[in-house]
Amino acid sequence: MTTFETTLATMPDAPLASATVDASTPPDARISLRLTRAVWHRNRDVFLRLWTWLLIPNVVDVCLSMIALGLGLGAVVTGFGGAGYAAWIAPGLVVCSALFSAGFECSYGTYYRMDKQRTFDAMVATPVQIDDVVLGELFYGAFRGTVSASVIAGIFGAFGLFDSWWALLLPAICFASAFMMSALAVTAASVSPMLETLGYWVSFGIFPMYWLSGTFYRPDDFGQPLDTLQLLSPAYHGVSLARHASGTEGAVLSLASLNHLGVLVGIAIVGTWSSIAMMRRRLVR
Amino acid sequence: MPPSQTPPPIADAVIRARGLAKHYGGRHAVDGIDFDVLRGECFGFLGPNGAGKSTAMRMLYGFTPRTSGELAVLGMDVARHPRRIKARLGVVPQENNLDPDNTVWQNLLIYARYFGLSRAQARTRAGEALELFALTDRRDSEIHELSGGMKRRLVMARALIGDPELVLLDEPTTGLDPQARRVVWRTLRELRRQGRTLVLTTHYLEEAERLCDRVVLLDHGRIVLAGRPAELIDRHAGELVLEADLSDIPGRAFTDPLPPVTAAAIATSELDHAWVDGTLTVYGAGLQRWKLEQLFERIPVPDAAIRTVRRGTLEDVFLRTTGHALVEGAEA
Repeated sequence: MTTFETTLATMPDAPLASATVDASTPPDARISLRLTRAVWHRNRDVFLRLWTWLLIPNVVDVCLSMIALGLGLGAVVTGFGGAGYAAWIAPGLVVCSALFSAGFECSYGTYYRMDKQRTFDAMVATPVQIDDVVLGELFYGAFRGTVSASVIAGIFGAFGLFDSWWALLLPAICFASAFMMSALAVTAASVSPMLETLGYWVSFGIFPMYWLSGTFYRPDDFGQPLDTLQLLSPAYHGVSLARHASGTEGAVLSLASLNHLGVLVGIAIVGTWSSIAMMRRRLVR
Repeated sequence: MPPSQTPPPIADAVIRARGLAKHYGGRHAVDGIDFDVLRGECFGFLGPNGAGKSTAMRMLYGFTPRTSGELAVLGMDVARHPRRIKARLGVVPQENNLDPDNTVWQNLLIYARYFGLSRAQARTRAGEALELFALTDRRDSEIHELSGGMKRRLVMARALIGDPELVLLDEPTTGLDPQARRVVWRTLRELRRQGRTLVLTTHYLEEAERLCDRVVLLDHGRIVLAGRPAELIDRHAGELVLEADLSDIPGRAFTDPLPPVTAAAIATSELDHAWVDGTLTVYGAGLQRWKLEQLFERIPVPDAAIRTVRRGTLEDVFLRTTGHALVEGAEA
């Protein structure tokens, strides 16, 4: 029994199904913005469904930070200008809230959808490709971060913690920062062997960025090597930008702003590239 | 070749694979297979776990890139035009990857967006799909509230959202109870009536016999046998099969050889047989019934053996062809 009828698997006489494209048609696009939006839309639907659970804790956390540090610690801290310490930390807290939301959403949330819920597998069985999935996740991280940061900015603004109308730019700054953070977080998720190992991303990614973001101190007062270290914190650039916009320090229309924005965008681009590349590496098998 | 084996002349090849292979390092999950799936047929990949069925399936929708070979689906190269192909495919994966963050209804509507359907279209299709799979009254349920059979049906309903010409089903009924399995079978037949082409993997041979026009048996990534189920059974197992289970006889071990008198009788009878896990199976392929019964009578087996004469199945075909059982631990 060595020869079997394996030829019946093929039907050489049958013509090949006529294709909607011919051989000269270029390959399908790697990225589809429409489908990226569809992936984002799925996450946004879930957000709208669960928003009280997702949004309120974020807002409460940041408000508590403001009470403890801005009002509590601020009562004994001097040297932060007329508006005081609370106004000094306000823009940083706003940006960092966006970073936290995005940093957790696109690490734990993304990992959960990818590995536990197998949502990505379900998506890529449709015209959606992995690149669309990753971009959809990044835009969702940015969206979520921007929403919670904007609510917080609104509260701080109502208490008069911002000194400039440029503070209306805060949501845009938060969006850029959160997008960048999402890209780093998805990269972390894509290389994490287990859900638990994402703790490294929190301890060595999110928190160092937060503490070295310049939110709680005057970044210019740092000596070496901390001075360099904080430059490496992507959050620092978002916080500095927010500080320019909120009128606590520096000017919005300045070379320094442009610099910070450039770094944010640069990291976002590299992070987007790496998150797509690493996710492909992980999921395409 | 009898006329029944002639392929329908009008149907075109919806899938054409030549030398299709997927290697993971040194492991050859799919090791150079050739097959065509014709429009409107139900085509089955059979084989034990790890035979390469699921890998082949994932290659069909571009999830797993091939190592070598050619693969055209709906006339297009999977590597070049995955989006266009997937727009016309429905995929039922092996595991139920429904979206637990959303309700039944939202699962369908969200999926519809990936196919670019308008809201109105999505609602119509989702309604029809729920109707077909008898899930209309579970429209607003959460996913975790559904039974296993319902989840499976919802995955299938979801696969139909894009109105696919070709539906890929990776073990559609694994883990379902017999009743739920029948419901799935019924809907698969309905899909065929609607003119859709089905490709499924299964290790339930009864399922393949009932549903598939043609099957290929995969073993270690290769096609070892292909054809129509009934013909394969006729040719390789026969109408009747004798089975003698010696495994429960006290004092015998699974690994003990066939008793010498039995072995000798089989050798002189020139009947084909398999000896796996303490069970002797003798195939009657190509013989008439009365002749077979006569021959079977002459094969001596220990009195304590459980002796059965039954209809040949695809399981026998597989056992005979590969020398090992299709489902580990399954009764042959």
